[in-house]
Amino acid sequence: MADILAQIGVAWLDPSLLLLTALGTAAGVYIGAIPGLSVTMAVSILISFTFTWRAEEALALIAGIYMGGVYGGARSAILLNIPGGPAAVATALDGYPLAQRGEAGAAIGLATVMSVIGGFAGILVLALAAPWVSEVALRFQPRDYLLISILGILLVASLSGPSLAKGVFAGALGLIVGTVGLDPLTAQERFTFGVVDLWAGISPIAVMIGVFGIAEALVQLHHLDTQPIRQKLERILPSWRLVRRHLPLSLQSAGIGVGVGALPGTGGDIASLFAYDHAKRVTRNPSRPFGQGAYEGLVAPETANNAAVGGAFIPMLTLGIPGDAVTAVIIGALFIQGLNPGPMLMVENAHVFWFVVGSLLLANCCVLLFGLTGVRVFTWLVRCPRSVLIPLILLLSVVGAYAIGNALTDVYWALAFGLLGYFMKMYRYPVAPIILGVILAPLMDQNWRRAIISVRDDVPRLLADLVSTPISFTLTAAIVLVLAAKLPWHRRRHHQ
Amino acid sequence: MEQPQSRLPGERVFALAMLGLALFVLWHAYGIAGFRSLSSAGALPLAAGTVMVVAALAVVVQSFVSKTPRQERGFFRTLLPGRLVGFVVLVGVLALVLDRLGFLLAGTGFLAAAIFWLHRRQPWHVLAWSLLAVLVIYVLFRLVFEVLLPEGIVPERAILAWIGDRLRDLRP
Amino acid sequence: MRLVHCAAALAVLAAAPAAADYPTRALQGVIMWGAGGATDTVSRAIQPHAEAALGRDIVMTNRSGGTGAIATRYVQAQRADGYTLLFGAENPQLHKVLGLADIDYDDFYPVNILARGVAIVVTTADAPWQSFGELVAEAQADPGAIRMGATGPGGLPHVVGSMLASGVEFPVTAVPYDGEGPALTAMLGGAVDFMPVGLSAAAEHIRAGRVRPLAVVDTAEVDLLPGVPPITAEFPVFEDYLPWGPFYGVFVRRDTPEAITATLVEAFHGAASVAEFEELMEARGNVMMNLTGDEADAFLDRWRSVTSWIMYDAGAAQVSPDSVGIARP
Repeated sequence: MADILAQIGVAWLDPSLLLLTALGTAAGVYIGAIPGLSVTMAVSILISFTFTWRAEEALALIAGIYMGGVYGGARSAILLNIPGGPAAVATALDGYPLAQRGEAGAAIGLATVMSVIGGFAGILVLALAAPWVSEVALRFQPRDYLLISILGILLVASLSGPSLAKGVFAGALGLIVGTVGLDPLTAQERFTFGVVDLWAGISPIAVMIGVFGIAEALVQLHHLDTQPIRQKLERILPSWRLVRRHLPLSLQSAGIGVGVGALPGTGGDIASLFAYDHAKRVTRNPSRPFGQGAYEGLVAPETANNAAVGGAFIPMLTLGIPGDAVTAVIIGALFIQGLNPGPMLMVENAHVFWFVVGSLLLANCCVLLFGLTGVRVFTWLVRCPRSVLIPLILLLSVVGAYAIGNALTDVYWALAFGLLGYFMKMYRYPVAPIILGVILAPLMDQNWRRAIISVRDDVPRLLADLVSTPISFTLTAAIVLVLAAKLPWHRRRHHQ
Repeated sequence: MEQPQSRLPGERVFALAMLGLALFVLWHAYGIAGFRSLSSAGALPLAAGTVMVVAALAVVVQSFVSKTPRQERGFFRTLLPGRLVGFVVLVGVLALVLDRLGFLLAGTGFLAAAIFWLHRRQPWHVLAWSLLAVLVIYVLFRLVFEVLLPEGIVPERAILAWIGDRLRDLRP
Repeated sequence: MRLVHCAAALAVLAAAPAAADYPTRALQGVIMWGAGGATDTVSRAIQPHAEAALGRDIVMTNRSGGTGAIATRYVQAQRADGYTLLFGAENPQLHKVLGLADIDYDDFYPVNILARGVAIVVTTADAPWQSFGELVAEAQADPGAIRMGATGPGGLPHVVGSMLASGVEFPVTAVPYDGEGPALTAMLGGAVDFMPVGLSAAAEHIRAGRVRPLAVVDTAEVDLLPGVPPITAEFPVFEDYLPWGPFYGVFVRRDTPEAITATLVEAFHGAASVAEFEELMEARGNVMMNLTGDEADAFLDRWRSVTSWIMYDAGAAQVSPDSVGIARP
């Protein structure tokens, strides 16, 4: 025990490691806030120049960037309605309305505290139950991932607003956009029209920059003359009462975050949307209606996406299986450092495991520090006149889209989706389901086909399998329950 | 958003256009693999395409059934005022010349033109601030995060290498 | 036509002074697979050593997609001035027969073929089969019941499966995944029963006793896996095709001036000889190659010819290798 504490403490006591983690977190907050700059990209760039460093130094920096980056996405989502990354899409739904009410400071404060709570919850599960969680995660079959994706696509109803048909349309459009490119399983072309640049598909981030960044900037052009909202910045740290009130929801969301994060192939983006939907379902009396600045709509996704960080490390550290794209890159970094990530890491290099736990804890504390202090610098963004802000957003959107893959193709896509998104927004189509569809498309497409190939096209057998294991049964039951709760007859009776 | 709003001009046309898009997607999805097998590459596109068509149809029906009055102002004044068209063109031009002129020139030009148009301040003032903003973005992306922004006609890499060499010479 | 010649001459003249003190600025490295994969790891491991040898930075970018076709096409579209390097794997060598693209490594100059991977066949630790022969026998007894983890057309399981199918009946159900890692994960969770895989991806799981190696797809045992028989012991049909495996290399456009390629060859040859890099490759279960020039070209040609014909004979490739100028080995 003392041994473990000593290894956790390494990250805290060595001044250079302390500094690197803090530096990484601060950089992460900015990387995360700029759409197009992703944590995955930052970490893979880091690998080549941390080659000559000690493994601990590289890991400390990476832990900071990862934690800070996931949190940072909330900043731009709240202030500009442009999520810094897919994991912050759900944050924008209620975070931006809060900023429009002049509560950007309070929203950022609450998001920070909840992110940190989520982060701690994720690290706690990582430290205490990693081997057990990873064995369960490993048991997920293709049909279970299919069930998760179905559960995910049902969220369209929560993201839809007044017209369900428009939401479903947007969700299906997203699914189609997500299948564009060479099919990874058969290399068949789908919706490519013979254009080679379409083979790699359309980046979800380009779509996100389009429908959130560019489309939002275009919509704002109509409101040039409205004065920037005065932001109340006296109180950034949320009151203990507010935190306590939302603690139960926050802990539930953290559970969703860790679980979804620990599954190989799903991460914070899906986790935060699930948590948002969960919040909408369990909250009887939200502080305001969802979509108009409900604190609950901010608390749930922000806790979940940071909890997913700890979750993603679980299969990576125990089995050498990446929980998401970032941990995949970290595995590569550990290889280069000669640490052989894999099932033996816990046995032969247990100190690495505890060191990561320690640095994540430290990084999480840094998030609290940087999250609550840098707010004024960020809020000048919403206070500067729109006639300056809109050109800046457009330029950043173009550069961000270019940065995704160093290619103009992504810029053109962002522009096209910006224009489409503009008309959709004006005609009151919700745009969040498009992102949901793009994220879920590969999960649904590939796992449906794997599941049906595994049973050799025997549909009755696949249906029987859906209730054959505890995991499949639980997921199927969840889908049935969600569907039942959404049926109109149920709701009508509820209202009477 | 709660109170019934008036129907925007072009709403029905847009709904029909989306239906057209959905039908095209469905037709193309069928073309991928037809109904050959449950596990084909076309399975999800077919399913999603069908849902898209049904949803788009529902939206069309809704928009034609709804009794809310059409808004007074015309399509271009409500949805595509000159300023908006101008901006779309401006961003399009930015994307087109980004590769040829490079980020530094194209970015500064875009920012200065856009801000000058909307903000109407001293041209030199606007230009200086635009250049500053572009330089900040450049340093952040190119130098800190090593994202290669389009180089264009300013020989950035040569300049950076030159600066790097001079710095190296300075060191003992 | 004369105009083209003049332009070419001018280009050479313009390039000549540049070539003398090449490189004068940072280089761009394009990796054809995503971050964290085998190609990415090898590329980023050689990068610092090559930077030291060249005295300039190499800015690395991942451009995955189309099993490498997108990165290949991108580098081909850049100037042949040696400032854009392609860090690639074996995949483009199959693009012509799979009908994916009409350029492959014929259009590139191999600066260095760094290393090659060794393929093995693995199953889970609790699987009933003790040898690959037993697995094949059960597959023949119950066609289609055994599930093989696969990685799409042209992927390693696809090629090894085709090699086997050219000699014996091998009716298994191939469940496709989008990479070796995810397929291996699925096997650990019981979603597939076995898979041919690169040794580097499976090494740690074998060491932990979660995965059982059944055979090495080579003509002899390998040092990392003592006691695991070569596949030729049970299936001599493989002798015609081996040695075979994925490989990783650095390429520039074929028409890059010679002075520049010479600089690059020297730099990367030195970088690949650094003990640190060699140890890393060995630990990952890769075999060092460090091939340059004609040797590298000969290797590339043989690899393409062997693999293309296996794929074509097994019905996995639609385009005849003959029709795109690939002779039978």
